[in-house]
Amino acid sequence: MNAGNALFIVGALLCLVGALSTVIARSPIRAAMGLLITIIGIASLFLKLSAQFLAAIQIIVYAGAVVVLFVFVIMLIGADTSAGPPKSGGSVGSRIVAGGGMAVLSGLGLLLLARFDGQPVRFGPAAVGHGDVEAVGGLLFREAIIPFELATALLIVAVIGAIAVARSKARPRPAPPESHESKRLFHGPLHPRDAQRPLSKEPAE
Amino acid sequence: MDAWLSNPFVHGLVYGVVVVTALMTVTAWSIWFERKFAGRMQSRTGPTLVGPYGLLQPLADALKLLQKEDIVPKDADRVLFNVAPPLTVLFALGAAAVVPWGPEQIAADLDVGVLFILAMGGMVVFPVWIAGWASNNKYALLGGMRSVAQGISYEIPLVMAALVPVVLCGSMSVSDIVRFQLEHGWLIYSAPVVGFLAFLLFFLASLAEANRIPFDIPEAESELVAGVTTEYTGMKFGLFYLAEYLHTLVISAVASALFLGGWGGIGGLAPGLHWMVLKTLLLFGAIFWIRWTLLRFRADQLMTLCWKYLVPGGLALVMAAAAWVHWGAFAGTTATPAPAPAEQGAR
Amino acid sequence: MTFDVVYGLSPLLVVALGALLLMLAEAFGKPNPQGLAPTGEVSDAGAGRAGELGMGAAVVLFVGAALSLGVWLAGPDNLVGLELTRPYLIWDRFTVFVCFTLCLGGGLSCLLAGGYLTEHEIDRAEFFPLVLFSTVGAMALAAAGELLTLFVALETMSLGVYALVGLRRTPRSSEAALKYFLLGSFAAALMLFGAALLYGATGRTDLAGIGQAIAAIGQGEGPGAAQVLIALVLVVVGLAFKVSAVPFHMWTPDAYEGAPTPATSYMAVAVKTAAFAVMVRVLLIAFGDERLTSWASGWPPVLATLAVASMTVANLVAGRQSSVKRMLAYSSIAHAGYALVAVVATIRSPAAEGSILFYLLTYTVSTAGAFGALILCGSRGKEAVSYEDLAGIAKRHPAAAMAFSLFLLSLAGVPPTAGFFGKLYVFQAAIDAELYVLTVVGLLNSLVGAYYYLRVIVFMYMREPAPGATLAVPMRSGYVASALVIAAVLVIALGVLPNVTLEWAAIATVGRS
Repeated sequence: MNAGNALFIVGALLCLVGALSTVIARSPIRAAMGLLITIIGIASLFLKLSAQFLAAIQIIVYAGAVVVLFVFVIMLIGADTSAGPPKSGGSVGSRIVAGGGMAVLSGLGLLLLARFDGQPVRFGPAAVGHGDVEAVGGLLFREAIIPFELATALLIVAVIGAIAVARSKARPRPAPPESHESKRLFHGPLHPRDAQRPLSKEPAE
Repeated sequence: MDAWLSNPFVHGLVYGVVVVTALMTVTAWSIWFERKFAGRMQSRTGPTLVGPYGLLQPLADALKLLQKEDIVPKDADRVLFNVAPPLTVLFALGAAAVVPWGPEQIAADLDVGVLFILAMGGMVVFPVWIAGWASNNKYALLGGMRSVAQGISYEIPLVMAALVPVVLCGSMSVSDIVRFQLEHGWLIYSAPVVGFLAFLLFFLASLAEANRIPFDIPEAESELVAGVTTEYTGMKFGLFYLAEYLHTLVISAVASALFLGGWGGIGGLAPGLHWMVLKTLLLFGAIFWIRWTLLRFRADQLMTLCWKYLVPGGLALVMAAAAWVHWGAFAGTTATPAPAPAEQGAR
Repeated sequence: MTFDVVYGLSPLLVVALGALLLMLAEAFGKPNPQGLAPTGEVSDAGAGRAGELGMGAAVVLFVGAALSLGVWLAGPDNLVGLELTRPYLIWDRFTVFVCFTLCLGGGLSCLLAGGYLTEHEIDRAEFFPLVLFSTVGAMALAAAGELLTLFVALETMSLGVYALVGLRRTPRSSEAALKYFLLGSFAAALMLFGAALLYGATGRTDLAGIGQAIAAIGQGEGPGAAQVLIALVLVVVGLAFKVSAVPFHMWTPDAYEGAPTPATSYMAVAVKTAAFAVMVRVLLIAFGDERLTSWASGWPPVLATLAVASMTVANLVAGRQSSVKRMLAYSSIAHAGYALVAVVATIRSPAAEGSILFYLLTYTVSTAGAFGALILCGSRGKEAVSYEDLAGIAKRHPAAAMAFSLFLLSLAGVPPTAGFFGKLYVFQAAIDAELYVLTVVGLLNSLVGAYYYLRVIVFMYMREPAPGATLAVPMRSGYVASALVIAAVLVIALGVLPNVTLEWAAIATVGRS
């Protein structure tokens, strides 16, 4: 077992453990932490595929931004650490039907795979250095510039949509400024020197 | 010996141990230094009792922390509570792995080094936040929440600022960036306005990510007791304390490498390593200076500063840097060919 | 070269640019005191300018439509530079025709929104940038010739629409948006999974390359047949969700009912049009292999089932609705069924693609008009939603009733409206392709459909409102009125003189493999 395989095994284990704990954990925070572990695992798998750029981006974007946002939302909603998931509204029957349906579908898929050849599709070897910054950058900005630019539209529309949906309803108009009975901040006795000076720039009424 | 050292794992391990030890030592005495410094600024003397000039104060502090009772609050999430302190140190130290201390003195010369630094910076909020959550204490939680908000906000200007050297030098490897500066001059002056502004932006955003004054609202002691560390005792608290200084130190090192020419010295007076350490320590000192000079931002001012000024400013800087490169301001370097793929693959 | 690309893509670029400008106008415009809600609330800069912004958005989209027309006349094949955008965007006559339809539908919806948002005090000027960006996504989706572009475009279109549904912020609206968003994301995930399998089986992401690879797989050259089949199922499910075909229609009535009516109109026309366009392209180019288009071992029976189910279920359920808006939602499902018949017909009839395009155009103008008429029939606090609300409106407001009747007749497919020819050509294509059973089912369903369309007309002209019931009072809005006039002119023009448009639709084909 060389270093590369070790990396794969560690990464795969991280992914599996993280994914399982994401699903199983009763507290949403632990689930988010599980997700974090999964993401780190995936990043290490990218490393194993010698896609360093993707690995770094995976950490920055998914761990540094996406999971942080999850965590932030969980915190804003104030999920109780001790509370489990809410009781599902569906009956046992519907759950069995859903589970059974999934099982049947997966079985069908497997059957289909078995009936045909069932061999994996083979790809040619990837180009050397295919995961570098240069390679990825060339792919993004020369080759696939159109989907890349389209992604900007996607991001803008997501931002506007989020603002449109999340923005609070119309604020009440600011109330007209109240006339202050006392213009002094402190109500103590005035120093004779200060009593001569007007405090406000507004004309005295 | 050389062949043995050139094995990347051994190389990384050796330098890792050296760097970590050095950083830890510097950090410990930087605490003494800061207390002295702050004392002078406030017309006090600072620590004087333990050792000559109070030099052994850090050891005394560490001993004291080790002796304290280790308390875990009753309703705390034990696992997360205990995991958080070591993680803070881990992520704070992580970026140090790709910082070149000299032409050869680098633990791991990744070709996505800058991204790695940013990734580690992005991860720093997690332990802080985990600590805040797991403590089951409202002040800690508020501190954690502020830290997350601050972390994700300031990550953006940080990335923009770090992109400027990447764009200017055409590489994401930190040592390549330093080499570029050796050839063309430090970025803060060789790309006049852009480099300097990017350096300022990087410095500011890093301070925010390290939760240093004036951006230390996650642990604003006047509002939140001690922020996320409220419930921590003994060495666990010590780890947080250590991580804060470590993070600051590592940031200083990264900033010196990215913008201040790294190990490049003036007139070849001393080996590169000395210069790098000197620059790092000067920046580190500047951070203390800022800390004892400025006041703390309010939470909303912090966000305003970030989203309304730093982020647009950062975008403008990246574009300016791209324009600088495009119109050939570094003569003869704009068309630097990418290293041939075959050579890279041979590694 | 550059000119070719810029000119060819100008409909897309103009709409994207217009969206950015509108965002700026919204952010920095001064509030308009006249347009403000009288309740003394102010939301932000640009408040009370829904009308003007709507006008701006509509102008942008109509300019987009005009540019599509210009590109059509110049001929996308003559613009050599457009080859550069392949395989990501395939900018052929098919795409340009769809772009025209999309811009038209979007522009009509924006005009409607200009009146509707002001009237109902939905002070949300984000509506317009959302519609415009969503249209950009829809146009890119119609042109997408590659899986990555396809997915990004699909999401661009969908995200905008999810937000539009939730714009009103009432519980019902939010619920609708959430349902639509969750199910939509699920469908998108299925499609993405299918795309991943396709890539795994063929090693290509461009549709043409996938088509060739699948043909090779079909001839027994290499593994991957099972992955292709599973991918086909997943992709078809994802697309069927977007066109809201039964049984993937569950979200439709709720989302259509909960959304602000102009948004409903936009969803009904633009999203459906773009989804059909991409469906035709994906099925014919990527899955255009002989075996996959054969009746025995390919997608035609699946789509035929979807078509029959959509038509039948939707028409039967639509007749039982008490809300007109919900009825129109089911009607849009039924129309998806008719269009699916034409999609099935593409396997044997070369005219079928043209019939789909023509059908989508007639459907766009009729549906946008019908929703517009529904908007016109109600005003703030007195919105027309149920049949009873519309009772006797012909006596009080004959113009509104007349417009509504015209669009309903077109939806029902009564000559000489646009809808008649739309259906006619679809069924003609189906007969060409020897799909007699589908044709008969479609015709029968048209008859069933006529029942609930005519029921609205009966209520408008022959019923009196129940004593003491609140009366729907039509709103006065130049924006809505002009949208209705445009739609009505098109409905009649396409109904009386369909020839030119039909000829154009007939030559707008996706180049099949």
